[in-house]
Amino acid sequence: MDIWVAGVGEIPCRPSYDEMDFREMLYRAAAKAYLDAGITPADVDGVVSSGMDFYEGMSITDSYTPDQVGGRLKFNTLVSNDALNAFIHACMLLKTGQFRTVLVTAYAKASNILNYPEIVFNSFDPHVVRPLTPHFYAIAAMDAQAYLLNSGGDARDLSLVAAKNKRNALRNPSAAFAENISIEEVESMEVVSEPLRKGHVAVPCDYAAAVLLTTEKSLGKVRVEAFGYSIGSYSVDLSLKEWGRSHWARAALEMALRQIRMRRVDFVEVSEPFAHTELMVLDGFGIVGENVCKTLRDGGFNMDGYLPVNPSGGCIGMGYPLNAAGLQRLVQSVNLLRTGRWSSCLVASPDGEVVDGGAVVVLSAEV
Amino acid sequence: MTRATPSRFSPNYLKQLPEDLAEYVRRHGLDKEFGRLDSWSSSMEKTYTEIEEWQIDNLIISYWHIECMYKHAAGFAVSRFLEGLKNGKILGTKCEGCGRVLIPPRIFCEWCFRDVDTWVEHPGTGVISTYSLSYIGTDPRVRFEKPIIVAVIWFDGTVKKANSSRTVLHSAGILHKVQGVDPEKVHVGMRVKPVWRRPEERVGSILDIEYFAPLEGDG
Repeated sequence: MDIWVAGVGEIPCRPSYDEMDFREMLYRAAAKAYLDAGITPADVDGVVSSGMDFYEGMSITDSYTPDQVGGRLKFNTLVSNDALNAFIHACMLLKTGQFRTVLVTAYAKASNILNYPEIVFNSFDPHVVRPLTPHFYAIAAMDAQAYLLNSGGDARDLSLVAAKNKRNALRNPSAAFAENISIEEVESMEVVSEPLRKGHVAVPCDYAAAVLLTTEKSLGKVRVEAFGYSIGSYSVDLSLKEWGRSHWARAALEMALRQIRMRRVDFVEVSEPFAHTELMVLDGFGIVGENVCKTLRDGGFNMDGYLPVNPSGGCIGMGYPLNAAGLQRLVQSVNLLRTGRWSSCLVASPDGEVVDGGAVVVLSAEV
Repeated sequence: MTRATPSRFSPNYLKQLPEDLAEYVRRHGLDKEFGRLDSWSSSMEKTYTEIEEWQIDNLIISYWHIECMYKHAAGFAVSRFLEGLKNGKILGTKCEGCGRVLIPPRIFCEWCFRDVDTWVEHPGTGVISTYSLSYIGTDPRVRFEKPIIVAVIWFDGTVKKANSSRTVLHSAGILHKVQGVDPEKVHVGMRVKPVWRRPEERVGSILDIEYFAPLEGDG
């Protein structure tokens, strides 16, 4: 059964939307998606929302999702972890044949969270990790350190990623942290936890997005070719984590590849809470012929490179909308495909900052 | 990171435990900590085969107090509502599509899925649509001698039925407390009005309405 994106809507990333609560943010995004699709809530069979109660500061958040997105009295479910999982969940609902059109929503109200590092900290094991009180930047930094060692990269490569994404974001009106910044300027920023500098870290932001998926070809704007997801080596005490590798990426991609014949995409959008995440996931995919860091240095991932990566600006250029990052990538991908410049893309999003798990979606402009 | 601040079990709770477990809890000072004692009970019954000498004295529990701090942006509609309360006014929005009045207000109508930007002021008089005499607090160990009357107030003139909708009834209404009435005399349909705090005490909160009280002649 074929699935298409019928319409997308978002409100631009911002450090804070003080004037809107999450309902108002989602309403604005959903209204744009309906307008884009040329349909109304009456045409929608269900809503799949992405949410993490710990991020929202409110229990059982799925109860508060339907009203503002046109989901009243319809099927409604909430999927945890990154929003790309919610997107895939909606695809699976459509493939059952019981749904014709499903709305996927995600939002981040990061400005509401006053101690985000501690929220992430509480995902660690209370016996053998938490007593050491590591900041999650330090956990991520160890991943970066291990990745650079594994791949033959160096810390400057992280600045290349950050500068590329911030500059790409200059073309994206939804980006909050676009900047015409040089590699040297990123290199001069303070170190937060070696080898990570301040500029290598995506800044949490407020954001909302809505995507309408349909099996009705006449509504299709962009085609969903395939999807996949997996969890890699992972335990809350970090003992099973293989540092510096994104094992999930290849497994998820292989799941997607089994669904299609396509073996080449024109660009990649990948959520990167940290600069090394982008490289680590690309390496995990195994789709870059040469060494990933060398390709980066040669400009291969630039907007005009052989495989543009995060032409939207990624999370470093746009802002990191927590669990909504995957849907942020998806919306940017749809918008970029509709420019006519590219005809296919790979969308990827890990399930969090330091998690070896995530999801991928392959899109094409062919309808 | 903040380590847990131990809180004491209530003596009543200890009395409910089997004596051997209660004695163990006291002996190890665990009555000064918090935790789920039922998990201790199941631990004592559990048979461990891999480590033969395992016993409950070896059990270690790590205590963590999870510190989650949030601020909640009220947004455009609810901010204006709260600001209204500070000024002694109950503000709502009215959908020009279905005609519903929304109190607390929203900037969208979930029935019509359209923008709502017509603002109305309401005097706050209404009826009790449902209520309960509550003897318990959010801490289950707390029991009130006199009940708190929690109620949902439906504001006058806002009840609306829509036959075209699968929702049969709408009314603008808020949850609040009812006072100034003998609990035995509270009833569904009782007419009530808001009792406001003094202007200098109002801060832009739902508590700027101190409570709802019966209208004269009802209660």
